[in-house]
Amino acid sequence: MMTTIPTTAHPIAVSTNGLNKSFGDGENRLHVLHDINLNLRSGSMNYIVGPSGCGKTTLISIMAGILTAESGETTLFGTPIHKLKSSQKAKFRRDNIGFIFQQFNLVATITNAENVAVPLLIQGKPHGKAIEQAKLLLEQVGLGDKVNGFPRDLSGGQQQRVAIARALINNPRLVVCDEPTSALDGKTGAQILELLTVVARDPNRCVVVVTHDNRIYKYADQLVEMEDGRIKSIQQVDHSRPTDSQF
Amino acid sequence: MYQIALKMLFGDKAKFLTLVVGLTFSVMLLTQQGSIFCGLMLRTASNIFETGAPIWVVDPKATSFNDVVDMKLSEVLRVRSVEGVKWAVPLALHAATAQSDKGDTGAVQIIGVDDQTLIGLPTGMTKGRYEDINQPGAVIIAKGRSERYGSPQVGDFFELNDQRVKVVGMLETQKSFSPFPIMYTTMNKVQQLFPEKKRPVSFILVKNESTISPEKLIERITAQTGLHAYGLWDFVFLTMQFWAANTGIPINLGINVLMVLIIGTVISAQTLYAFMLENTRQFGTFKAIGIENKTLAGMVLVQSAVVGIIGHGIGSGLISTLGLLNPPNSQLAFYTPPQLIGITFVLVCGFCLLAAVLSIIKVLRIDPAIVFRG
Ligand SMILES: Nc1ncnc2c1ncn2[C@@H]1O[C@H](COP(=O)(O)OP(=O)(O)OP(=O)(O)O)[C@@H](O)[C@H]1O
Ligand SMILES: [Mg+2]
Repeated sequence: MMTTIPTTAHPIAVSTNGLNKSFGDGENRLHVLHDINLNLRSGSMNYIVGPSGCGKTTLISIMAGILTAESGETTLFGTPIHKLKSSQKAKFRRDNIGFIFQQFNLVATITNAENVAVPLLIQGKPHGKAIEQAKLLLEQVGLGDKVNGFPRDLSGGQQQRVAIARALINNPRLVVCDEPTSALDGKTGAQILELLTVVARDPNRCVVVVTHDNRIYKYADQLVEMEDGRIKSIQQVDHSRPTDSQF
Repeated sequence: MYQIALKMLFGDKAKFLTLVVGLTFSVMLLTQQGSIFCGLMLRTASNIFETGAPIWVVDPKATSFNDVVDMKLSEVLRVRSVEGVKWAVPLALHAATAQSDKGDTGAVQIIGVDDQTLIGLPTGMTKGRYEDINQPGAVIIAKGRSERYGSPQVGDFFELNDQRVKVVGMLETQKSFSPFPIMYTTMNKVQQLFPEKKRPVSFILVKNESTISPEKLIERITAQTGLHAYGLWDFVFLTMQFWAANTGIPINLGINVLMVLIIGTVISAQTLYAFMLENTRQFGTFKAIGIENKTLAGMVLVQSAVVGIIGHGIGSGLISTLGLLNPPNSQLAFYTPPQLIGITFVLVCGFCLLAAVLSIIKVLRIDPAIVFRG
């Protein structure tokens, strides 16, 4: 059920204004993003879709403050992050953003609980406390029996659950996911997206998922379609669902 | 995050082993070269150690055990008259030519000890008796290299400076750096063997009274006699310096050490750097999550420090063990003083730091945007 009625119940979490980005110089210069204007709200699940190379990854990298745009503004929860120095951006990410990657990016040589604890450890939390918190979160994603195991002993879907727990442990207001399901089979991918949908029920949290997978659009509150570095369409989806989260 | 850094390091056993083995080899090479240097240097001073005298008095122009200016016998009396001297005895060191009855001939060094006390005669007699050294024409020979003049046995005779002498004993002495065979006899016989020498004394060996420290007495002897008094170790170092300056050993071994240093630095820097490169994705993820640069740098430092310490421990441990296995008087001059372990530790810290700095520069430059790229 797709409509174009905008959801205005929640405040704007992410706002981009006139974003432009290109790579390379001279003849090799590639203009990847053209004048991107986009608003994403807290308490919403946002999908960014579009053909390969259209600039999806580039866009969420800028939104998450790990890539700098050439021009334009990016405001996260009222903070104009394009104005921050890189160390300030790092601190902002540490406190506000969770990351989920296609290849999970877990550290193979530390336990699942330690992997989940990494964002807290980076914040400087004591090891023991961080691990305790990580264990709780692993239980919530259904991996309570794997806390002391290692990522290599988990299936892809389980590894992505560990990664989701890691992305959530600092209770971020923005969660960015780049192709979180494309390394997984269809069924596992759907389970992961359902889990992320639950994550997005927190009214204070905005989730952005970049995906190719058109079977799963049904989970989105807002669907952003891109083409050739431009936004082709923005669609709002009304699911009329409860807005509370167990995370 | 430092615990995480360590787990990343130890987690991959194969990579960790490569890292440690690289460093262990560098440390082993460094320690081995250093030990040989120390072993050789120690041998230059073996005669000094063997006499066991705490204070050595020489002519002011003497520069070492092997470069002396001889003194008159009366100087011994002057030294004895200094207050605080418990005993002072002459020791002679002269070169001579020895010829066996079979016709073998070669240069030897004669060491003459005090007739009454025999102070300066090394312990370690394997054949014969010490007291027989007081017989007319008696010499005790140090085993080793005596083949040059026909490997004389106890009871054999040979010619020394055209005088007949008799072997009354054999000594097992420490290996010396000097290639010349050594014969021990008494001061009186030295004067007979070298009647032309008006200055037969090369060193005066001194022991302090218990009421005065060796250092104080050294000052006093030097001030009152115009001779030069040295403590045992000062005289040892003077002698080491003499050989070092006149043989090119430090330069030659130094070049080796320099090579090892360069190779060690390259190996450890390269393996550490490769380790960091292999962890680019993890470090990139940490950067995306928002790790502070100083924490990241600290992680790399911790990793390289641990590799350095472990590599140093294993490397110097192995070499020290090999050194202990080496029999004391073997052909291989090998001595690993604790100071050498300290020096190699500082050097290892140096090149681990260099490797860490290179890696830190690399790691800090990792673009967090790579985390979303395949
Ligand atoms: N660091 C870079 N240097 C040069 N070109 C880049 C860089 N990053 C991205 N590009 C180019 O920018 C364009 C957009 O890339 P981007 O990764 O944002 O696309 P995407 O929509 O995520 O594609 P996909 O679905 O294949 O992941 C591509 O043509 C890509 O080759
Ligand atoms: Mg992409």
